[in-house]
Amino acid sequence: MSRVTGWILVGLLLVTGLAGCASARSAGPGHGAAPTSGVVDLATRSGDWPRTEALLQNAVNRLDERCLRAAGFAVPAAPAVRLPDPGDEEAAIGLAQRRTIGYGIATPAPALAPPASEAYANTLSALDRNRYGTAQFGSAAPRTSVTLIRPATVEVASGGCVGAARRVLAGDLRTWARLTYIPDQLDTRLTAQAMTDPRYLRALAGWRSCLRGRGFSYTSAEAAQAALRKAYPNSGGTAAFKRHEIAVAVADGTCARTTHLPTVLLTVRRSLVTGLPSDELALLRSLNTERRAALARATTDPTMKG
Amino acid sequence: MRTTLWSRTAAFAAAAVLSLVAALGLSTSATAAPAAAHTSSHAAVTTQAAAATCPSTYTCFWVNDYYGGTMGKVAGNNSNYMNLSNSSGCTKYPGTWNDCISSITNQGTQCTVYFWTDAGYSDRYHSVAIGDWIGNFYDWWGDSAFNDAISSNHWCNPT
Repeated sequence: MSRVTGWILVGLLLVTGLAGCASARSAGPGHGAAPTSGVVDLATRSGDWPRTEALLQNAVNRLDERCLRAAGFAVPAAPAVRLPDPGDEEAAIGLAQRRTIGYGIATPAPALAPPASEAYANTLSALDRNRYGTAQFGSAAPRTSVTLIRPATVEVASGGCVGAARRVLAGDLRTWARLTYIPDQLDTRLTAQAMTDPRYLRALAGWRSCLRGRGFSYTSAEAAQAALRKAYPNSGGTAAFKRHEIAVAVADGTCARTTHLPTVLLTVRRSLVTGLPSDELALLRSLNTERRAALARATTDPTMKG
Repeated sequence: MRTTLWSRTAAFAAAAVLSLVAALGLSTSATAAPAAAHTSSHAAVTTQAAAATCPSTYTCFWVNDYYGGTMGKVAGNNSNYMNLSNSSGCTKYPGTWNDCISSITNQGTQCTVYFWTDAGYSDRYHSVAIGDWIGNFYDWWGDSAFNDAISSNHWCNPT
């Protein structure tokens, strides 16, 4: 080996080694500045996120409807999107619904008619329905694959009015897809993590104790529902089963309110954002910036308002 | 339900071959969906096939990842998948679609569909916007608990 070749090899090894170190650092837990409230909201779909996300989804719907109408289709407006706020403990528990249908296991639930906006296409002739499909999704309904948090990908509609609306709102399709789906990914992971956190487990122990005081013994609300679901097919869906389901669901909800289980879960979820790997925190910061730009467009552009 | 190790390995191998071909500057045949240029060949090919079977105005879902196995479809709100009949071999709640879904698409005409992990539109929700395809719940959430977990769906709004 010549000296030149040797130095090149040494250089390559150094570069590779440094790249490896950088990669290892980026995969480690987050350090440095604490995540902003916007980043925490984004990763947990809480705080201001439900309100602003509804605003973004409504903006896409309005853009899409304008585009379809311009193509000659008198589409009804899609209902205004409202997203649940996990910080609203009363709503999260939904005691009123529990008193009526329990967990909704034994209550007959026939498939309801789709909303008017979805039913519209069915009112068209076969020819117009094809035209509608082309206007809405583009010729041959093209899709684009977008990488989310690895290894997950989503294939998103990229043509027609849908693709155009997404691009106008977010700047490009990839950004729209990442803004739409990555919070769901992270929130789901953080929720799973929070449910094994000692702070949540302490609250859960309180919930169990409360439930026992009401005559029921389940390890968690999920376990209670799973047991009822298993029993339901053999129960014949009797009135007695329904009464039992409602009693368990109400006791579960009452104990969740007493121990503030949903609030504890949310608090733990939000606290875990700081410990996300630094590359994911960097991604969240970047997404939050792109999201603010999209929100600015949604609130100032008259074509995105209802 | 997840696909076998072999089919996943084959998909990755195929994707690796495609990547190598791309890296070498060789051309591959174009498909109707640009997705094929980015995702694994396994996902892209089966998405094409699935697109032909999921009718417009429905949201469709499959027992296996990447749109494999029995397909189900809904056009309205369904508050309890225990009441949604499924002839395939789902093991958690046989004969129903409850906790059985591993891949999904929304072929509705205007609205996002919200899928809930419990009946009565409760617990956690995942949204799928119109025209979009999610081929593998396990990869999405990296946790088997969130695969085979869907129990209700609602169009246009979560509830």
